[in-house]
Amino acid sequence: MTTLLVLLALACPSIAQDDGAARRGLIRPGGILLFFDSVGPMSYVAMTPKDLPADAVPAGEVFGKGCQHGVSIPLGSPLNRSTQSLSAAAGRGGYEKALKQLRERHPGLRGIYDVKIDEHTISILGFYRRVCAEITARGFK
Amino acid sequence: MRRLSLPLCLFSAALLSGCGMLYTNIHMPRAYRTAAPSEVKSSGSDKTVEGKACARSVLFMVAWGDASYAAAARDALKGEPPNAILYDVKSDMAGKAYLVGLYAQTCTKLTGRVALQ
Repeated sequence: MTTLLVLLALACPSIAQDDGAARRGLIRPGGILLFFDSVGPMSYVAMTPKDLPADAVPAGEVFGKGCQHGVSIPLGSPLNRSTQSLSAAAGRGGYEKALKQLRERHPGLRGIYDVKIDEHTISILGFYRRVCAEITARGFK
Repeated sequence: MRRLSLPLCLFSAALLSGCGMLYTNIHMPRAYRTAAPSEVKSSGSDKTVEGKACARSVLFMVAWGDASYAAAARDALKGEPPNAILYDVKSDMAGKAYLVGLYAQTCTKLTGRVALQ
């Protein structure tokens, strides 16, 4: 059990990867699922500096994100392991939404490169959970 | 078995809620497609830099911090000109946990070389 807890503490965050391979990023609502309509990130092979067109003009750092939201309502004491919960999740937290928001924030952008993708998680008392895919990159026009 | 029920419950709750059962606000890395030396204006004299970004959790109750690639890259490039870019990047994840994980820290470490665009 001790080993398990230590592993949990170390392994809570998602494991990163940088090869563009598919990895599902859907929010996990748990419990008895009443409603689910969510989009999460999967894979994105981003541009690197060599992919830039010759006439590209650097536009500095750009940022965009897409979020999924989940709620979970316990039907009894949260410390009782037999307690079930009702849950629901929704949101557009995939790369498509994040890139759309990025282009809206930075109009005129032709593309992005040097792309870093992170996952921002906010959870309050286990009742509400938000998972966002955040794209931080360099843009060019 | 009964003695294990509370830790199991804590484990399940922490796992489901993403580390902190009461409150979690963490940034974690997901993907970073970095440049190779042939993709930037690199030279043998480019310096090697390191960046680190960490997230922490206490008592399985509260988790906070920014261990994202973006934060680690910002840390690596601090003091560099705005057109500096990292290439030949190695990323590692470092974890520390004390007292069966009552305090835990996870850090994203980037090591790379700096080129100017």
